[in-house]
Amino acid sequence: MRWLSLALLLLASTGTAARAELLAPTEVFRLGNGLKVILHEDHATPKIAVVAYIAVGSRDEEPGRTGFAHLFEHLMFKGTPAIPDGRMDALLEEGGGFSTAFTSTDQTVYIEWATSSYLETALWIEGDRLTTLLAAFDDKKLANQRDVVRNERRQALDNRPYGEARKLLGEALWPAGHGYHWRTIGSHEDLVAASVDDVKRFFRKWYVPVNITIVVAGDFDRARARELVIEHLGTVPRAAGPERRQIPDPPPLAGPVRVDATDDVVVPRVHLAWRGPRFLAGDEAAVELGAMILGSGKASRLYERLVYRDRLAQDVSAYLSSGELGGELVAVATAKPGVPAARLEAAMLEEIARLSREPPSAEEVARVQNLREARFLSGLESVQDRAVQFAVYDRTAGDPAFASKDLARYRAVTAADVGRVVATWLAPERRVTLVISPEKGR
Amino acid sequence: MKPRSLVLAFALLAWPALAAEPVPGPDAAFTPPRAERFQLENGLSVLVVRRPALPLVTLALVVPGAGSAADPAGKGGLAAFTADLLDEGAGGRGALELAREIDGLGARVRIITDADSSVVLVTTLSSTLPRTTELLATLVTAPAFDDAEARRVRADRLTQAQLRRDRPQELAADLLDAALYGDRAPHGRPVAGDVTTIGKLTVADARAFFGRSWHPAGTTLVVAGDVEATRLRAAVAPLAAWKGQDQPPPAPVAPALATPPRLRLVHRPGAAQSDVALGVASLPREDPRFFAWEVVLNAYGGGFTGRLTQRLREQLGYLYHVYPELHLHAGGGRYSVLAPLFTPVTGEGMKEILALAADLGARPMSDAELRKAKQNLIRALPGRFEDNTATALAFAELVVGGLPDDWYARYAAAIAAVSAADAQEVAAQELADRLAFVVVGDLGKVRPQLRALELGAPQLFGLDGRRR
Repeated sequence: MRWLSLALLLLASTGTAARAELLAPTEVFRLGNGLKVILHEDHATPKIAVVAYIAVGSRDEEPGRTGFAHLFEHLMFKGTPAIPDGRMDALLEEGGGFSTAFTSTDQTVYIEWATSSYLETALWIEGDRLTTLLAAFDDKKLANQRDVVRNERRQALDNRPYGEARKLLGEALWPAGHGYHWRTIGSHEDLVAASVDDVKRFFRKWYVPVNITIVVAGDFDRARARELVIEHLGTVPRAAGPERRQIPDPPPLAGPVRVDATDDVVVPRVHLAWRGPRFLAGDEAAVELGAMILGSGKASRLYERLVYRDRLAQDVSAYLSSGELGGELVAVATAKPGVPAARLEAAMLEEIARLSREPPSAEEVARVQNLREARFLSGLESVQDRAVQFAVYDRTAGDPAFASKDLARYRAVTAADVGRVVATWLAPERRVTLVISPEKGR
Repeated sequence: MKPRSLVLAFALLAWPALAAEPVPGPDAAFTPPRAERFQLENGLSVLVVRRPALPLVTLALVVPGAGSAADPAGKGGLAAFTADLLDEGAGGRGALELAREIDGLGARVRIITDADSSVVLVTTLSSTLPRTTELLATLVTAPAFDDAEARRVRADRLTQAQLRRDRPQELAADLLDAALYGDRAPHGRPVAGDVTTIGKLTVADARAFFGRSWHPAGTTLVVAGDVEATRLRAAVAPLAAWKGQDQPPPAPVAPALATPPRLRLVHRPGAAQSDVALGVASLPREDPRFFAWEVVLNAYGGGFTGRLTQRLREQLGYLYHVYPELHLHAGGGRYSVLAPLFTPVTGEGMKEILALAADLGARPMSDAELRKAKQNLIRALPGRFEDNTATALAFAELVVGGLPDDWYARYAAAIAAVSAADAQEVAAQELADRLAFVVVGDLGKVRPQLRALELGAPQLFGLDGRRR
């Protein structure tokens, strides 16, 4: 009981202490060309960040062109007629900042930051590349970044022990043709096949104002920022919104799926995976907290059983990664030397079944709620991280100020909710088991 | 052959501002955060940096001398093992009970050991600060050092060491430090120990190490976040109960080798990339040339516009990213870069890496390149204090380095004063011709590529880290 009241107290006080203005934008408006703009003023540090969120990701790729959305993202940094290749980064780094991006299954997000006096520079860069990128584009730039991306793939997959895991899980969880079947990095063959024409078509289809949210965050004067946004981004030509391929919910897995692979490793690693709820879906918060109860840190169920008590695993974790079409819920454990993968898997399934049968204690739920909340707030410390969050909320929840509601939906999860969703979503008959084992002769 | 392409490479940085490019206004004034200091009765120093933006606090309990440089002979890994045991039981609570308590506070505890120190790094919600500091005090005043837990942790750490062959980048980094400092030197040995030493560590060893190396009088608690000094004094009061032995002598620091072996090779059959770790000994912060050195390293491997990335990635497509790191300790340090190179161009990539370093020592940087490096360092400074953990660690570095709290306040002016001649001089003295390399890759394909590099006879190691 002491834990429950303490936990509730903590959550309540965090709610009032969280500075409301940090979690909400200052101003939201739309330009004449359809571009959505969010301003978030914050003078704590003499810095600005400009984020451009494009609603296109690897799920929108054509067959034979996996990895293209991410490859294209690289090309946005290769210059325009007004900004020679390399100058964009030189400018922002001279401004004490950085220019980067990431691509996922559902979105491509560009992130620039620099000292406050570089606000116009950052907006000029963004507006210019959204308008004139193709005019300075050529096969040499494509060839160069194709090499870079293939090295990125080697680093993350080909050359990393157990590196193929996420790719193999994706292929097993989602049917061929589903936007989540392949990984964002794509395949070497498809990257090699990408052409300059593909690049031009992709840009013209997806990089249109109505498909973009821009966030400007940090130390600026609101009126001046609005002027600069209109000046540099208002001229991006208006164009029709892209039609995003509708991907129907796949039928559930017919039965448990087993995938075996080998790698140059010393011990096997066991992955159990399920499809999970979509981002912001009703069950998502409860499933995420359930995954944390199972596998987040030393107080988790899987750690206690596999690492601490039975000494079967060297390490273990569980997480939910959710996108707009669905989620991936994964529990992964590395075997201790001499422990067979089958024994590890059996123990993992037993712990998951136990959580399905008996809901967690209120204390356990309060623990992971606090942990998640602290982690969430830590993720908002920098002005560029906040800018990204506003854009994500704008496009996925339709509300850039969603943060406080987002926090609330995790606080609302009860122990009974967790028990129910674990039973629903982690059914053993709909699991994928991937075991990566040492190659023969090792 | 003087690489003409280098001239072309950096011409881009020397473009005059183009017609359409906006001209930034004057920089906003920035004063780095100031720390308030006070001391507890037991000699523990507390440094507080108030950052009220979010309801979070980071605490870093910095214990200089409790690092692996103080590991006794034959007991490599003891400092790290001792640190690892601190959250495995304390104040009558067992390992899992402690873990639950920490989670319940919305806190996260990591204990980081390097050659020079151990740091207990705690992040927490400001609403749970008093209970968190009470828990932190318990870890150091009443550590359990339970024999059964120690055996379990030791077994895990031994397995981790055995599995290092599946972490080739870590292996490369370890072999590089060993090359630069000497395989058995305090800063050359792996912090975690190795498979010959870890298995012999006992709980009695750990308890003894804790007693002689962890002590309040030499320790600083750095606190950054939503906290103000008065309430913090009350919150840290439980730490005053920590009694230690008299402050031990400082841990031995042997300087980097004057002539380290310049090439170490490890065979990893079928590797699609070569994990290449390269590095040199670093000037310490106290050296008057340090600021010129920072500028050189920024131009060489910093950010996206550093020479390494521009040449190896954007021009040649040989790799995805480079990962530079500067690690400083009293009297010196080490600058290193991890460069995962596509296997067929490993030799070519290393040739470029060497040429770029040589060029920095052979010719002064252009005005544009110099300005970019300096302005990057100056203007990026505010961002280093934007989050609590980075802020706490920034001040922790000063504590471990024995530097004054206001060091960052003088940083911008010191960087601004660096000239191209200063940078060229320190590059010629400290970087050019001094890089040491470790290559973990498919030696069948890679070794022939390295012959032309003139790095001397390579030393061969296995994936187990042992000399062949």
